[in-house]
Amino acid sequence: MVYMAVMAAGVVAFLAALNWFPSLVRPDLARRYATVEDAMRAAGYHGILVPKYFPEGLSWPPAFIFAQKRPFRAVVLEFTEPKTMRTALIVVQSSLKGGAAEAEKLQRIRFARIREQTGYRLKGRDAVLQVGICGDGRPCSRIIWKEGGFYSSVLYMSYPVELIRIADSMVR
Amino acid sequence: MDSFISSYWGMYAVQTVLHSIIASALIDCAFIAWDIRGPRMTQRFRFLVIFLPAFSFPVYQLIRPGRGGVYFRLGSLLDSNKWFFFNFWGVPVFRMLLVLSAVITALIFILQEFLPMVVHLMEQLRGDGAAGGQPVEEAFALKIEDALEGLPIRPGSISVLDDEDLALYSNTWRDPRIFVSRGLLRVLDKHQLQAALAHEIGHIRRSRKPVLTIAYIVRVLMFYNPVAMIEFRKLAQEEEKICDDFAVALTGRPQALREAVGMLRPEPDENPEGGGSQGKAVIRRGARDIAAAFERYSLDALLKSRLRRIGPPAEDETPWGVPFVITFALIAGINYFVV
Repeated sequence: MVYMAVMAAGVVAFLAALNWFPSLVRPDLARRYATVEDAMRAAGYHGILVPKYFPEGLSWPPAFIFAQKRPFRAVVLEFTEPKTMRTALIVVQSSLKGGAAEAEKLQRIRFARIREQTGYRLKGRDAVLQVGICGDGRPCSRIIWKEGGFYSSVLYMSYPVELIRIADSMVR
Repeated sequence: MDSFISSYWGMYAVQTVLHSIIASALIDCAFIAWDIRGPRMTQRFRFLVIFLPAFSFPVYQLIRPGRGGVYFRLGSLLDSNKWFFFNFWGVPVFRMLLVLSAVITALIFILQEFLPMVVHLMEQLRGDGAAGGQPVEEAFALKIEDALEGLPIRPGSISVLDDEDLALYSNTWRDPRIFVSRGLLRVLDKHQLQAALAHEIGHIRRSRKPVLTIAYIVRVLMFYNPVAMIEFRKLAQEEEKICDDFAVALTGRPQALREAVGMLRPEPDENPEGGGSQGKAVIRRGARDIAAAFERYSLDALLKSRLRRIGPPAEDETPWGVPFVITFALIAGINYFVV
């Protein structure tokens, strides 16, 4: 039993080393970052849109920052409610190369049911506004638009009034 | 290619190969840790390498649909995407290796296993496979009758092939039948023939166990998986050893079986060029000769390993339940975090 435990630990250690090596050699592979600046550098995308307006209870900086350069460029910012530590706002920006479906996979929380979907003009840009229920059962809304070769998607765990204010604060 | 790797079936293909490698490594660890040697025992563990990777992926995805997503990958033990999107001087080496190994494995499967199986099946359907309809010399008929004494098979289930080479095999499909060549009947004595026939009866008996058939079907479905191919071949080799044990238990004559198996060993390779250095001769050989030599070497290695272990009937029923459950749990647990 002890031999087996030791050998299984060896297999796990070997797999962990295999997982660690590419990140060491290629820092632009998918990983978590401490600051938005680091994420921008890794993704090679310096035009990240960040919200300037936050509904009550949410604030800068993001609790979770993720970026990748391959297989497509993407940056994800997640903001959590300080009281509950639950994710309340997810901002995803990804290059069009990944496609809309791949971009959606970058959202930790996804729609369980879209109740309503409509076109929206966001400071002159064509956007899609969706309202529904998310996978964790909370009401949520999302706005998606394209800008500069990137998809921008903002998912907020509430009704769309505050979401539009957040998205509005991101674009000029 | 990028989108295929990220798709459900792409992830299935990649993860079945990775999970097979890990399962194979862990069962080898189990063999060392618990000193598991008997072919019945090793075969049970080897089934894990064939079955678990084929079925675990859909189960894992059911348990956690977001398992293929970025967030799971960030916390995973091994994220294969890191290697697949890892380019050396702009060349996606690991993606190319993955495709190459899948293509080579699929080709080997088609040429070495699938096509011969289809041809054999068609021959059986046409009735060509049974060359035993021809009259058999009385001496051979008597020899077979003597050898069959005490064996659980009807004399009518033995067919004699009009072939002077040493050949013995069984058809375990529909109408089970053992085929033995005239050449083999000529060289084997009564006891050796009895032991050889008992070995084939073992194959016929065991072919009724559905687990072997299911394992083969799963292996066919994973035609692209090199680990499944290697493990299935090891499983087939263990099947030979299990049938050796069956023959020894049935006849009580390990020495006779050893002699019979020894006669099936291929002749040492001849140098067709005659003289000259061995290196030059190898270069002159065509790819077919090399493949034939490799096949001959593999067959000889298998027969030698069988010869080494054929002995008096031995107990192969060491406790295996706890090691099996632990190995199963380790494979399932570790593979869950390999995406």
